Amino acid sequence: MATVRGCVFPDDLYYDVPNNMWYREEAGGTVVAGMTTVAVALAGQLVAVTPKKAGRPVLAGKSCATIESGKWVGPAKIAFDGEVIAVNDALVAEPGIANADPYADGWLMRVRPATWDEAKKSLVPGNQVAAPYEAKMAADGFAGCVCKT
Amino acid sequence: MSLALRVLDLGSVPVVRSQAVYHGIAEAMRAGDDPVLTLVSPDAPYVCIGMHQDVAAEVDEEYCRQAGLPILRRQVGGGAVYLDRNQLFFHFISPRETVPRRVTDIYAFHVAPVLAAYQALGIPARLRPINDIHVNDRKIGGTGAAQIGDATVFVGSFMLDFDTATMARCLKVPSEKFRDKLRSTLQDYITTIRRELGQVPPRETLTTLFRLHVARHFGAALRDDKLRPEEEAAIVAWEQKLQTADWLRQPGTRRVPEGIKITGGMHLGEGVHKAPGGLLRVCLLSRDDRVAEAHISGDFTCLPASGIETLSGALAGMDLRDDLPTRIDPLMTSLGLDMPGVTALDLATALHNAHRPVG
Repeated sequence: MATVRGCVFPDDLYYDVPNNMWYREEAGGTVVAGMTTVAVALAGQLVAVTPKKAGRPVLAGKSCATIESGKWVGPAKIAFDGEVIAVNDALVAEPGIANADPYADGWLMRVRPATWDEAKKSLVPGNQVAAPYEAKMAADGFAGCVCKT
Repeated sequence: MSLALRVLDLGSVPVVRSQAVYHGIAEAMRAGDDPVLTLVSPDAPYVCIGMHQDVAAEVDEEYCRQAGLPILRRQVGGGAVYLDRNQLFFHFISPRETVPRRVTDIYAFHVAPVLAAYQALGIPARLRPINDIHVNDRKIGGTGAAQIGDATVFVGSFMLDFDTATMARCLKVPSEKFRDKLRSTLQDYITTIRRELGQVPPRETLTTLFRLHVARHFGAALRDDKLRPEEEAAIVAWEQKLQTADWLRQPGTRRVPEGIKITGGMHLGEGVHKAPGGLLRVCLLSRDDRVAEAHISGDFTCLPASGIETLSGALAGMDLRDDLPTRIDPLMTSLGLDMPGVTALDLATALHNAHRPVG
């Protein structure tokens, strides 16, 4: 597991570094998506998560969910075209799960990508994510995952 | 000066446009574009709810219908607010890569010229983190932030004047007693430029001061501009979207306890608890997790009858994070209260139900 400026990134995931999203491959061609520790550190304590509903299409680079932290509203952007298979109802009911456990119980949605093999080429495997994230944090002036307030 | 900032002073605009304008400009913004500051006031009053609020739960829709007040949902967070021509809205819209990413930093970055403009008017405004602007412990304006498209949006308003009575009337509340308390609390803890100065300066005076401090703070060259065709098209699309029932009626998913935020740290809520001795109802004004005011009512028996008012007063200052039953029980004893079927634990439960912790 990589740790960059206090933010952790499990090795078994793929990362969309610019959009602070992670993806986990599953058997059967589906992928679980979620927000990284960086995403929730930037947003603060989440108070609402509204993902697209199961059965709806999602488009690469577009919003698959709207999140609110009380002081901020923004999109969670998915990295590839696909279809939403399921959403994490527990997260919708208790958005703070994403702050407490972003890589497990705080998962956002299960998606069937149109072409996962193609999508993977634009993502960074967990065992290689430290350097790109360090570069992004440096460029963004992001101090780290310990809350400053 | 290296940064160029487009200023779109749109003056007084129709209600829907006053919200659609920043949504549309943000959606049309591309990486590398100059940031934009819009200045706008609505030409009529309306009610605006936060992104994840449930309109039916938050707004007295029947009153709004009778009063001719439109209701709009914004793609910015926070609570329901009453807006009218006595507020000058400002919206900073910037490509994401040009402004801080962390939410607390977004507020600190943008609010400085707002505070400076108030201070130049002689109003000692300061930021109460994360996003309230206060003058001597009264709130003079809220701010909000969002990412819309690839742009970071920071919104707020200069409060020239504020109709606290109508604001209190627009919101859905558990009882008329609660509404009375809401109205008086807003009156006590919300301030305005008129209240601070005794008058409202001409709009041009305010915008000139604000622009001066925006230029200084950001080291920016301000350039008056007009909407570009692609921005106008996006605004029109948002005007249509904001008026659809699907947008307004989407189910609210904001998972926070009920009640109304008055200012940062201050919350007005009502808690109800069914004790063996009857229904307890507590109207609680809390400040930084302490009791500012509490009013206990219900259909229980209290002897002497005046004791419940005395007990309500004695709760002031109590830390709501404490073990409340152990704090309330000696109060009931020292006041000699006889409340059949109502224990300190019951009162604590009603208080707890009314309280929304800070943070």
